[in-house]
Amino acid sequence: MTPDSTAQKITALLQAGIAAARRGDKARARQLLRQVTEQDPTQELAWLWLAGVAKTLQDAQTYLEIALALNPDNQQAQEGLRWVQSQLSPKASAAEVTRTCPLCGHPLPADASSCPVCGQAPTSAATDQETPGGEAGPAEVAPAPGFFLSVEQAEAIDACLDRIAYESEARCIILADITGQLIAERGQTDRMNTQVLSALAAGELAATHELARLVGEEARFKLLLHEGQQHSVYLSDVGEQLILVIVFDVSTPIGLVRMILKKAVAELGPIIRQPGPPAATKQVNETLGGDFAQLLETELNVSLNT
Amino acid sequence: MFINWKLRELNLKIVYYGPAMSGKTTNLQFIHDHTSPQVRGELVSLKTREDRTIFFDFLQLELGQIKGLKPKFNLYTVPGQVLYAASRKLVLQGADGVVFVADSQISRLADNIQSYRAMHQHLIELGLDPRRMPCVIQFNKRDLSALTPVSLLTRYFAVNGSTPTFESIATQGVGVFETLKACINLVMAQAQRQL
Repeated sequence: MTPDSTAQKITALLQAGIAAARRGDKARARQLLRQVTEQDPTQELAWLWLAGVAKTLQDAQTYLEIALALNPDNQQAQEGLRWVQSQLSPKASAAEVTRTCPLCGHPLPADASSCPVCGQAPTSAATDQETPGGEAGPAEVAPAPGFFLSVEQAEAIDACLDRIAYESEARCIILADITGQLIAERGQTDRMNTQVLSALAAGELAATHELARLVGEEARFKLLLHEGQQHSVYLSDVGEQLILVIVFDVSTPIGLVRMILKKAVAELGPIIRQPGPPAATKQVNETLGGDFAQLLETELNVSLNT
Repeated sequence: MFINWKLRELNLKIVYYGPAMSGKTTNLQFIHDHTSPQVRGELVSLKTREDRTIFFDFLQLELGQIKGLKPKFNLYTVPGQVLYAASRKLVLQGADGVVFVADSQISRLADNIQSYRAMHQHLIELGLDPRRMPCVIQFNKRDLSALTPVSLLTRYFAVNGSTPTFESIATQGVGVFETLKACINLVMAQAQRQL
């Protein structure tokens, strides 16, 4: 097919799609307009009309955002997107929708003078529109938290884990942070990939918290027990930041493990919460500052074979 | 970011996010297969019988010491299938940086956008600001036919011009390491700004 005939075919499909939308045949319109966008994703008008016949508001939002990515000045898309977002927001009230567009059938806000999705003449240009790829987030959200463990904290943790290992006769004990990063390990871990174990344990506890939420449990499930034939595994939160994994022989009474775990959580909590000494924090900042980023970049280039 | 000063370790978590079948696991597989055993750990995949990621893939990379500090990068993928939205949010928890792997095929354009939007929503729900999260966009599968033009993808995903984007063919490794390095560099630059 020559470029000219392809363009003609796309134009014909687009016109047929718009005609189907105008007569209210949304399913047919979607089918035709999708054929247009799959052959030429830069067809702004096709995305706009697709938004008008979209099955869901989320789909309409996506199509309008694509139209805006193609042409940020497209006022119909701007207005349509604002309207769709207002409907998707939890504050949106169903009572505001009182009629539908005679052309595309989209619900219309009570005060709309034209269809926000396919209307011929929008009433005003958007002035506070989010960029297409942007996201309307909260005004201020804290940046990703970093977690710093000082030498003193690490030594206190080691001493605590030694004590737990001795008292519980645990096969091994692992302390990790909630993102799955290994902090300390004690016991028989030689043949165990403790880093992977930490990642899996963190994922599992996170899933357990979500399970608690889904079943309507207000408090988080704080403990998780896996019973095996030879070994059992206990997982528990330690405050908001850390998780503790204890692997023990099935011959060890579970009641004892629970008691020791409870004690361990009580001991570890205050260690984690105490702020690192200012001198150590300064030392960390000095290490990470200056040329650290450049040196890391160089090391990455060497280590990643490129 | 987690710093263990006693062990002199710097840990970063990088999450590969994107719609189903966009090539997130393929990125990690290529990184695993093309780094020396001294640098890489075991690649762990929690997947279904159909070989689809059910929870996450995990790979740790460990570099030599820099100014006395050993960097460790924990790379995760999220499960792309629509069904696993809750799992995706869990994996994003604690991320220091994100690689968004978009599928360049025209037929997947809307899926990419919906996945990207959902990622932002998850970050907000986790108390993280998507605008401050170091993020690199990878336009994958550039070797296939019927592709969305890079210009359109860039206009949507990198609208402010400061988000790094890479064209890639993850199955062949094209753009894979470049994407990862760019994300790590963004994370470090952000950490330095916060000092």
